[in-house]
Amino acid sequence: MATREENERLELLQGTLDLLILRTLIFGPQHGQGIARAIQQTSQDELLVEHGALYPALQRLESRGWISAAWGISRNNRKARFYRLTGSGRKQLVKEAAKWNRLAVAIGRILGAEAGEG
Amino acid sequence: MLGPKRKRSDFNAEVEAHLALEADRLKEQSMTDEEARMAARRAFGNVTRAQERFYESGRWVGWDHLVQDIRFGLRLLRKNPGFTAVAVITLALGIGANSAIFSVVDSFLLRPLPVADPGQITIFDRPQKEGFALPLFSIPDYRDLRDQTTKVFSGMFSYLTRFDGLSVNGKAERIRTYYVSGNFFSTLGIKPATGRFILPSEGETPGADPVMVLSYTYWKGRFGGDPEIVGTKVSVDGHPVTIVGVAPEGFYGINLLSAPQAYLPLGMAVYGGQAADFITNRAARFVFVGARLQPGESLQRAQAVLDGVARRLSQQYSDTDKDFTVKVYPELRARPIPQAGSLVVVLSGLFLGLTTIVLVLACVNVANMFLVRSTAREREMVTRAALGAPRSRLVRQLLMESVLLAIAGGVAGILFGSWMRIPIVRGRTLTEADDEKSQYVAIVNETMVKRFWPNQDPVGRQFTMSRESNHPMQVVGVARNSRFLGVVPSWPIDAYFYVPYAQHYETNSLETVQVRTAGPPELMIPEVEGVVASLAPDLPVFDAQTMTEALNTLVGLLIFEIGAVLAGAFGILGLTLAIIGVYAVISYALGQRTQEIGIRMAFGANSQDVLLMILGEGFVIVGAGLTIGLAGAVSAARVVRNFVTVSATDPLTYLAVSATLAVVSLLAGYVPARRATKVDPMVALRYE
Repeated sequence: MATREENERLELLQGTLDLLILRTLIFGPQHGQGIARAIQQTSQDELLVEHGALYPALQRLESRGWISAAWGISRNNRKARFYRLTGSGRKQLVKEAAKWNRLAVAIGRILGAEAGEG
Repeated sequence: MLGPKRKRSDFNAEVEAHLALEADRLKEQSMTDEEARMAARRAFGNVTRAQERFYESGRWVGWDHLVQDIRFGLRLLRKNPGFTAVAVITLALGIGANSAIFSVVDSFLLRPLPVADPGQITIFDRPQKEGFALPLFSIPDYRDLRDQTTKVFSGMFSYLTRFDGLSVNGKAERIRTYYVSGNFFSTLGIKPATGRFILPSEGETPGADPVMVLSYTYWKGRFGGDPEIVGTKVSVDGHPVTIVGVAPEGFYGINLLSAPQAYLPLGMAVYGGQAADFITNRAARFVFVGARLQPGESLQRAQAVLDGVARRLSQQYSDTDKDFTVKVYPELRARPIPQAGSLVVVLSGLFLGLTTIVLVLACVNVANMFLVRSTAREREMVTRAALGAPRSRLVRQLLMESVLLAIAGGVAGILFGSWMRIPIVRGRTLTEADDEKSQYVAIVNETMVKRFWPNQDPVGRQFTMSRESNHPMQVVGVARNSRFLGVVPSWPIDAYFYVPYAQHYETNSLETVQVRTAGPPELMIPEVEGVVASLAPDLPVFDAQTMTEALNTLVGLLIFEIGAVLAGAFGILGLTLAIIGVYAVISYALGQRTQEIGIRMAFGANSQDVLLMILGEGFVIVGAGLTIGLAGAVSAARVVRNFVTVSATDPLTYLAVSATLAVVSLLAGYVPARRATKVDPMVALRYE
């Protein structure tokens, strides 16, 4: 599969990584590498996620009780730490997603108006 | 929040797993092992950084830093033993003086009585229209007050305090006693350590209830805590009395200044010479009165009820109780006696003020020393900041050093504080075991050691008194020289020695009996005469206390002893702190002026010039300080004039103190000044 050149990808906005992780976990438990892969694939390789940056975010979400973790076995039989969305994580996802959509719509309106005038 | 902390190895394993999974995926896209491994690492980014961030996210980073700070601080303090020692001693002196004074003030004035609900206990005063009288009541008045105020007081007790000759198996001893009303213990709500207390039915009839309750410490000290004590027959002032119980540990009666060794029923006070009608005579005022407020009852309401009863009594018994008034005080406000502005309160306030000044001085000095040192550490701080240490971390590090010093000073201070209360400087004190059957022993004071055994260890040596030449006495301890109130400080202290009374009945007999009265002395004269007249074979003499013991009881001169020792200590303490302060400030100032001194010397000033300049400046500072200090001393002297027997404005004292201070302060400045003149001009010019 062809991958985009790294310098062409978009850097994540501050605070959006948490939202993406929570969203990814809605399909079921996943380990760190799987989450990184999923974000990259779902965004059709538009987003630049440094895999290492994922872990402080996972740590943070876990400490807030939005996700829980346990060691398990991956599909190709490797030991991996699997993360699972908790009840409060689900609520947080709904809240954050709604906030993000409002923001995106608002910014889209402003940019759209500017484009219309220009 | 986080459960038990996740181990770093667990996190590292997760990262390894991630890299392996990513490499697996890349290999499926026909990469070689090596290529896949490299690509996975690239995608991951900086592994070490991720591990660091994991570590920093942990809850224990602060703890790790704390441990590092403590280690570093300890290393630094070890590296500068002189600085550490001076700072610790400075703080220890300040804290030690404070803890010693505070523990005395606390036990005298602040600690509640060790009884049930001490906040409900009140003490009565009998204010006079003019002048002062001890707050003593007659027993008939007490009974009327008790019976007519039951709606505000759940109980009212009375007691009188005395000294009695207690004789056990023919061995006599003078003890302080409380003669208490039958409800004394039940009103206070305490439980006996063993046996029983005096019953409410006891003490109403003079001489009818020969029972006695021991204080806990006296039971332990005099009777070795004998568990079979109940039922023991003793004799009080020659009359047989049975011990029926022991008061609980820590209970000292109503007043720490008059802590008794034993309690007897009020009616038994006739044994010690109290007139037989003192129970019924309304004019015979001998008892202190206290009461317990009903739960939730206010002092104001109690006072109002008492006012009514007192008014009725003064009308009803106008011959004895004319102008009879009663004022009720909470027990905590009634120490040592229920009166506003008592001497103990004033003295305690005075000494607390002094200790506060000393503590502030100590703190300022240590702050100065840190300031001096911080000039030397500027480079260290700049370097560490440049290497990326956040300012908060540097501040924390410096704070930790201060905290360590403060802890060391505090610990040393508390050790000092407890040491100050022990008047024996060598050897041991006298004990119960030193009786007439054992080796004759004595404790000598420091002057006696200087005179008879200069530069030798006196403990173990023997001497005899000329009138008891067949009884050599062995020195077992050395007592610190001490002065008591009223002794002019400039008189030399005589050689003294203290002996156990038990070993010197015959020779000392009545020649050396001293009578110290609790109340007005004239009231005690007939009583003392009565006791002397009734001297019986089993009552050889009624003071068997050793001098040291007598002085060490709070009844004795301990409070003045402490005062005298502490006042002297404060003087030396203040001077020490002043020296440290002057030294630190001048060192600091000179550290700042190294360059200036270098320039002066480069332009031809010699070391003598520099020395004179620095000392001259020091003289100005010290002179200014002395002027202000003298002005303060003169005004302070006016305040304390009432308490001291020496003239508070003795010019010679001021002159001597000022000269000493000036010389010592200038010497303290001389050391850093000398150091400054040793500076090589070239080094000084390049400085900074």
